[in-house]
Amino acid sequence: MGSSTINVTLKVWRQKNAETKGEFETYPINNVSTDMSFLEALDTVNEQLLQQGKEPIAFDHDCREGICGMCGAMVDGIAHGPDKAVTLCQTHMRSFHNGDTIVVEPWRAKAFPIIKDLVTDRSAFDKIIASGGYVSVSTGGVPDANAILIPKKDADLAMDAAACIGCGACVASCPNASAMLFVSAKISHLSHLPQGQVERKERAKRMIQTMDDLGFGNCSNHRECEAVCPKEIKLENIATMNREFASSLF
Amino acid sequence: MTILSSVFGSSVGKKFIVGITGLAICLFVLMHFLGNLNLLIGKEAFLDYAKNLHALPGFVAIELLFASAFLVHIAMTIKLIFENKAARPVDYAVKKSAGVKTLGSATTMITGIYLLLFLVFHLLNIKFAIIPSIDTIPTAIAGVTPNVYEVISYSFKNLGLVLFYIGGAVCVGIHISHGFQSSFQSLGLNSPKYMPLLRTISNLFGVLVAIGYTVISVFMFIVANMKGATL
Ligand code: FES
Repeated sequence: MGSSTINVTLKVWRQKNAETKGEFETYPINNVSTDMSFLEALDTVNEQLLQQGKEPIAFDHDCREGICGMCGAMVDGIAHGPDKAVTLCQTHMRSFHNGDTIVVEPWRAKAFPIIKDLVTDRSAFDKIIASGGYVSVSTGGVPDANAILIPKKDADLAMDAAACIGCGACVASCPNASAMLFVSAKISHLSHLPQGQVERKERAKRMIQTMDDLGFGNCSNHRECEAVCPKEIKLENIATMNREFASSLF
Repeated sequence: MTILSSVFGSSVGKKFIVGITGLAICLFVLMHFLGNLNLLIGKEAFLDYAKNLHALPGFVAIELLFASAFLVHIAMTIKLIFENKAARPVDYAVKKSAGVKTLGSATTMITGIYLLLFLVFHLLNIKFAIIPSIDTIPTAIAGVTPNVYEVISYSFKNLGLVLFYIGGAVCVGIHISHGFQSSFQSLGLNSPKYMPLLRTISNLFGVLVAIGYTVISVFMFIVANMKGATL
């Protein structure tokens, strides 16, 4: 695929800190290579801003390979942008057209307060993990493969759920700002594995409780989370979590 | 913590409650619809049906059970609407669906509000015969207590009321198209294999009640306005 260049305008949410009111600022960028990633386009804007002596746009990123879960923003109203199953760092400018105006906003949820510009505080996810997303059986050193036999079906389900990188796109895209896709991925990941059985009931209870306490909304099965998830975490995990919750009651 | 308080106090538990009461309401809507089909046959058939229904053993208990399903469903969803609003205090300037939005899922709140108003009116209209006042019905003026068929056909003379009923029919259909399949997901009864089928059934169910109730409403409007209609 030949690369070309396009001219686009970014309308980016700028907010000094959690206390101040933010607003959109408009940045035209010319001759953007369509091979650039979205974050590289933001880098380009930031270089211009620095040259002008202005404050660059703050945004989270780390691996830029779609594996760490640090990046993410609402791009034209869709979490991680228009492409399916990719993070923002893996969204490329070829997904846009010459002359496009692209609106970029941070994740918006009470549980994810804005720190600055596009950076939100997602430590709520860490608190949920700390409340139950672990196993406390000593697993020792690296065990031999197949030392613990796990049926292929369970291993696959656990592996699929474990693919979650905790980026927060599910919360961001949910009309109710619910964290159920994330929490259910973690619960169902461990509940499918033998090592996860010890705390199984307590885990479901505690993680759901923590999620509720942190002010996330309630899932009403809109399925927006599944549609934007860069790791294609399936909605079935939420059904699994609901079953785990039901069995934790007794 | 007792089971009940864990259920009512948890987001997943609240999903269960909305789901279970929703399914109960779906069952009610279906039975109510099948019963109302008797209106298409005629006055005698409908009055017979109404009589037999009320003579069923435990009718009042079943009625109360369904009434509480409605009340809990309404109260819980209103609570959830406020909680969900609080979970995103600042809205997006631009928000799009990633392509999975359905008419049902996008409008649950709007159809729900309409249905709540509709339910209140429908009860006052037919069940309790308060609006319009039962005393204004011709048979009542003649000194005979009107039966339920007379209450219906008297009310359905009014075009405005019929349109409101058709609105209710459309809303209940749209609401069910999302709600029916959604209840199964909420109760954890979800499998990738059967979900597409369940969605289709849910949509057909919605279309059936929307069209069915509309047909009944239009039919009753015509019957009630026919010259010499027996009231
Ligand atoms: S920066 Fe690591 S996933 Fe995007």
